[in-house]
Amino acid sequence: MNIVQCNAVSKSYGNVAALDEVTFSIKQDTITGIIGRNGAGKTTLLKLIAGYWKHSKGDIHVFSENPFNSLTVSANMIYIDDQMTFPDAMPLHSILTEAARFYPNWDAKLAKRLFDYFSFHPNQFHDHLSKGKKSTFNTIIGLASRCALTIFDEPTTGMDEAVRNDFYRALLRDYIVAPRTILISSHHLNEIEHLLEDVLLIDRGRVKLHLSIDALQQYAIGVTGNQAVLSQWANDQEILFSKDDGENSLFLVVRNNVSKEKMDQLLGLGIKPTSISPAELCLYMTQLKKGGIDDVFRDA
Amino acid sequence: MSFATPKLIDIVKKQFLFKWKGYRPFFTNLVILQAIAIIFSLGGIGSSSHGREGVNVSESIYSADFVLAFTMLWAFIVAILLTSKAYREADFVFITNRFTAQLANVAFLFTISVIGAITAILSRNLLWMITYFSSDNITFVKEAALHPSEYVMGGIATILYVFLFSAVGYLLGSIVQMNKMFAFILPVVFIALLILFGMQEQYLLLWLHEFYYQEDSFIWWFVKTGFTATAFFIASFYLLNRQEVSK
Repeated sequence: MNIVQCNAVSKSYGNVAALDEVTFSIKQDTITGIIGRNGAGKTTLLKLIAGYWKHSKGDIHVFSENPFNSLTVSANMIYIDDQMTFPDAMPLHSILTEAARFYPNWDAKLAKRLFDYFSFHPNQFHDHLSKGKKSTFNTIIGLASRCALTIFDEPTTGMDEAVRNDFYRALLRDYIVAPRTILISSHHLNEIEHLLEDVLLIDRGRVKLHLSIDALQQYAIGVTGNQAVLSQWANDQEILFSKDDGENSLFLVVRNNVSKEKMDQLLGLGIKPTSISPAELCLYMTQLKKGGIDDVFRDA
Repeated sequence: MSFATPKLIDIVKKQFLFKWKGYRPFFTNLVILQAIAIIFSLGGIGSSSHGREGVNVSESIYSADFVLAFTMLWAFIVAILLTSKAYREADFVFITNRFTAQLANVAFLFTISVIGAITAILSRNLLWMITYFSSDNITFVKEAALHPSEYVMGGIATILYVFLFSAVGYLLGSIVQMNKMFAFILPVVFIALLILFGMQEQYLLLWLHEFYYQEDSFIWWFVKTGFTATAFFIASFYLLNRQEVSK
């Protein structure tokens, strides 16, 4: 069953499209990483799914309903980010009590244990917490609420490395106990790669890739060699990324569907293909300019 | 994992309790405002004194109108705050849609109107006590003679007036949420109207005064005021129901 179904969904502000005809679906009980650069449209997409924002065009269905103003979607979904606001006068322990009242699947034991593990004080106020502590507290709510659709939008903002790793581990362990559909957005694919089953790569408001993490690992190879020779070799290949260092050397990322004959040709040239990790691939596929930041400093 | 199918009324109840617990500081503000209003009221609104054969009688009239006015203003401001971004976002932390959040807001505003009105009425007694104990002379306190049913009607009327002010605040707040420009336009228009009314015959104010305040029939007054408050809330619902949260 598809928990989320988007058909040509667009969201625009005036003339600027934050999302441009996005089509994909998310299966039940999977962990999907929403990966993309700053401003790619990750948050916009997640807020549309949560029903916080209204899409401009297309069809969006969450639990088979339009999420905007849907009580069913709200009851089965939780959206966690670092912007969550609670009433000022509510100490942390009452926030947890309130969350327990709202969510039928709330796991109070888990909440209490995580709360103690991350050494929160029950009478602290959310507003007085540091950035990382706020994020940590919010993720406790996200995990303990055990919603059928759990959305983490950059959940680790401000967390130190140890807490980030703890959170990832907690997420995975709780997912095994209580499988659900989890969407987690992040810039750091390499950090969350081991959690994910699928990756949805978004670039400038469009879906660039939607693949399983295994498929992503095999998706592309990297080759480095003499510029003239290599570009000659690659003219019939699907080039995903190219970079020349200005000194006759060329680096190419090509789709991993090179024929045997072509591969032998490459090896004959003395070039050994390297593997491209999912994190590297996502980075290469979302480069703004082919030459990268160096182009900015290059004289015309 | 099973999907929860929530009942609208349950969610409204939960949201109401969430607000009730989370927004306690509003009541602290109310206590402070009413205390200030009582201090203002201590001077009385009218007095006369006369003496004969060595006995001096001075008569002062006290009223809790100030307290009531402050309470209405308080309800007005609370209502505006509830429509603001931060408060609407707090609604969306847990289960809600725009409709349930607004129903919970109305329930919350009604509750605070009841609390505000009752405390405002009771502040009269506090006022008497203060004047009684703060005077060195022999003091008699005489209350305006009212029939018990008039007390009940007075109570209901006070609650409804406070609630009406909260409805006005809620509508103005909703209009500002629709477009922030109204945050500048509305106060300017308000002040301009005040100046205009100061210069001309005050037809609108007179009409409002006649239509609401001078209505002789309690039932009619109740219907008029209740209807106005409801209309304001429905208009606000319409405006806020399309607003996106957490931008």
